[in-house]
Amino acid sequence: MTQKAENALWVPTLRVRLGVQGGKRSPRFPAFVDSGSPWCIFKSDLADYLGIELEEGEKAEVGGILAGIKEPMYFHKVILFVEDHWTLSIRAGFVKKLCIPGILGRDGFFDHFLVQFDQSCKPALVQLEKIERPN
Amino acid sequence: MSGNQPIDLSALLRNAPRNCWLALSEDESKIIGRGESVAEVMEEAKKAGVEDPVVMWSPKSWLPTVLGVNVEK
Repeated sequence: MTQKAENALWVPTLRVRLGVQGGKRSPRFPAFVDSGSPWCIFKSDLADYLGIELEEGEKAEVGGILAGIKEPMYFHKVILFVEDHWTLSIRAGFVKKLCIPGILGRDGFFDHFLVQFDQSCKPALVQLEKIERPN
Repeated sequence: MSGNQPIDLSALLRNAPRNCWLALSEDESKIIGRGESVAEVMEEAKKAGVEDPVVMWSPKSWLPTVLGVNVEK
């Protein structure tokens, strides 16, 4: 997904939706599968669409590998629909200035799936196996 | 294991509007609308007759993200 196909940066993504209990669902959107992220994080526009009061959530700060940039993040409980096949209740962070629609991180995603990347394919392939365990 | 069906969006996004939400057709082959919010882009999709679009944020520039927490200034 970059400017020139020959230099394209292939990013593993899945199509997901978000929802709130007994309420609205978002449209499908691509979310980056990112084991480097401790949480699932979404652009706050999606919270607005679902009618979530962003700043009523638990506040945290998020930053990247480069020092200096930090943004407020607010956690809310949402329902995550993965590829319209799996439904998970998760706690996710919402950030106003996220430059992508969403990130599927360790807490909320990787704790539910065994994930295999095949970066030799272009675009990259992601394979999932749901971890079944008693609650 | 079940896998997704990867889709190459590079050609589609190369000249797409930036700094806005985009609505893509259900098979992700066409851009069918743009908007400042998810609600606005959903309205555009509905006008185009697409009930279940894929929406995505188109940033000012496509940069590699590291640890998934790249933010826009």
